[in-house]
Amino acid sequence: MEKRSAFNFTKFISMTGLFLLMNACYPDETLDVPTNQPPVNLETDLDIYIEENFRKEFGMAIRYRYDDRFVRPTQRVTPPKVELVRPMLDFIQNFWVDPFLEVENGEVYFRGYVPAEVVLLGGLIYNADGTVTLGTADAGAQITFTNVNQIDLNDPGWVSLQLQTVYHEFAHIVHQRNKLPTAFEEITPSGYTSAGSWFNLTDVEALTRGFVTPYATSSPNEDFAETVAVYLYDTDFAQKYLDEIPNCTTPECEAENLGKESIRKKLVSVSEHYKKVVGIDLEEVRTAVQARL
Amino acid sequence: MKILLKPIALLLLTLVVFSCDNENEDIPAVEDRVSSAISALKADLVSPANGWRLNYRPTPDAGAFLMLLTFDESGNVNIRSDVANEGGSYFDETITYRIDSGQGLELIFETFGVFHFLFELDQATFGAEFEWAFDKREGVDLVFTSISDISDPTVITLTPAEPSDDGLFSRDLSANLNKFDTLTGQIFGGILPGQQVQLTDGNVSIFWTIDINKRNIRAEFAGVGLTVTEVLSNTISNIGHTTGYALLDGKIVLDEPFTIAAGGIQRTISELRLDDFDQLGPSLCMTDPSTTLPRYRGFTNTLGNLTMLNSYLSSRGANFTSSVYSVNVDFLFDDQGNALAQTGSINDKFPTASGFVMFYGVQLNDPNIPIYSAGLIMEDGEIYVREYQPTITQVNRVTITLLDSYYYSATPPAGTEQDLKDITDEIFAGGEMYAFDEEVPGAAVFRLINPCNRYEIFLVN
Repeated sequence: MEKRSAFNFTKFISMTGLFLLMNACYPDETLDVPTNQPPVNLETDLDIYIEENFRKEFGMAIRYRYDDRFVRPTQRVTPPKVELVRPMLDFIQNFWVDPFLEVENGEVYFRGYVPAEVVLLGGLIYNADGTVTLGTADAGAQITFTNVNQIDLNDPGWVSLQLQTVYHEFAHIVHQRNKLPTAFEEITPSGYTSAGSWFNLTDVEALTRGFVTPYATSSPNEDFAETVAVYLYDTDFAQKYLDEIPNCTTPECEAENLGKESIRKKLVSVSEHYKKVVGIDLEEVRTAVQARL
Repeated sequence: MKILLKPIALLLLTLVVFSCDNENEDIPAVEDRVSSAISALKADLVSPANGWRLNYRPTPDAGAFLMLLTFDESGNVNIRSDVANEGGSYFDETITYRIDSGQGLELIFETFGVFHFLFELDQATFGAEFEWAFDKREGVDLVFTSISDISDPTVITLTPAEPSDDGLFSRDLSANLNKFDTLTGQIFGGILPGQQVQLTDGNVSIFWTIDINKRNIRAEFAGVGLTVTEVLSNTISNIGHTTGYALLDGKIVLDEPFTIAAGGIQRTISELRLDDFDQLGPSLCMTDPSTTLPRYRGFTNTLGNLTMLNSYLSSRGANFTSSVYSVNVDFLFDDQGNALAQTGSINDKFPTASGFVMFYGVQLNDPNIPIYSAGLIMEDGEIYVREYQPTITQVNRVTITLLDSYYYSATPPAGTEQDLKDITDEIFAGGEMYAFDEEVPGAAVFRLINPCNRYEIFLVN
């Protein structure tokens, strides 16, 4: 008993002493010193504009100054030209923010689902394995726009890259929070490709499988996001993906029509899902987007 | 042991009680130390009256870029350079910078400028940088080391600039040299431009490949004569020397001078002054009398007057020798980069063609196939080719004189001969092609450029 008591006292004092030694000096010193974060500089008109129109308005930080924490260590990227940031923000406002704000329930949806951070990159994302990433998003928290330095609203390739990226990534947040529509993945269950092989498909092959793009075949989640994105921005969506080719006489034509039938089912499924879980009509959003193109 | 435990415990407690005395109060907190270090470096950066001079060499193989940098307290840096791309926007630009504290102090150029332009060359594989770790102060200089280089990081030294340094920029030279970066192929990224440097006083020409963006030169060979025909009719002297260069005071200054021995002269070239630029250079097509290409005139330090011209003559395609070459029919392009099989004459006349074939001095099992002939492979495997005169590759130049002699592996549809004549006349218009190696792992691939109509064909050996 006494032995245990003496032992406890010594152990208590020793442990207390060690603990205090480890934490004794410099009580103000912390380990979470910000080491790599750009200071908020509101001295420029651009930074003030961002603060007022994006951060305060939507809780969305716009990152245009280079910071290596925005990309993976193996990715090589550049920041945008500073004079192109404002035109890019106008593009984002016009083609992403405003179309959602002007439809019924769109503002509530947009404010509730908007990612906390938007990163602007000057060029593409060059990966260590030689591949190039066109756009990316991180679990609904961040959307990255690439190739800002090539901004050209008259270049359909550039515009479609940006719109496909942002609508695609924004759609991911919907299924991440609300799951996929019921039985969505059962519309074309055999059409999905094995991991990493989607890029072997051509556009026509994807279409005959019932997908809007080859990338959509990579998983039901990507299928959902691609269907939404292409539906919103592709002016010829109905003709390319929905309308049956009349008087089919070849197997290729019949296969294409079968694929379109599947896409029609997917569009119905996706549209009903949006109405149900976020309360907006995708067709209205598409109309708003198309009015701007 | 039990006896020792209690004193040790009491000793620890004593240490705790007396460990934090007033002597340590003058050591600032880490945030303050970081802030002070950042402030000190910023003070150094903004202090020189004329900013900093940097001779920037992104990689050991690259040439040098003269830059003058002026930092201000607000996080802006004005960068002047002699990089003429993007319409001269990098001659004088202001971007923002930031000093971070990571493993040490880091200088980040955080919006796009000339460093980022160089960084993105070759899909960001060139090796330029825009993130720097502060290394040390060396006298009045500041030394930084690249953060983004995985190995052999670039070290730069900022030296206080002199007022006269601004006069060293050779921006006209830089912009004019960029004009030689044409006629270099349009498909798959093109190729590096070739140049002929005529040493007019000595009647000798040097041929080299120049990488205008990375500022290095590979001097390939020299020969007697001022025209391609003259050079090819004489003995060629190989050089095989690669060097970086800088643009200084209106001159191309070579990092590593080289020696030529041709036409009875042997001289070392270390710099070329170029001061008379126009667009009156001769066409690269022998049958085209026009003179609209870039031309620079000046002189060398050792060989007198010179004229610099574009050229397709290059040892980069010297391995295009006797063999059978073929390619998918989609790999023949017109001067606008359109595939002939998609929107051009092959699509119009031979929509079922699947390949293009060029028999170049090789006897096949079928002795009826002319050993010098070129034409199409059809989807059903039949071959339709047109014969051309026997020839050889001179450096990388192939002369094609088409004959009115045709071979068909099976009887072709009516009108095939005229269609084949039209297409081969179109592809080989002017009668000459220049071959260039294409770097394709595991395959010998050549790009053939027609200097007369700028068509391009890719051929696989």
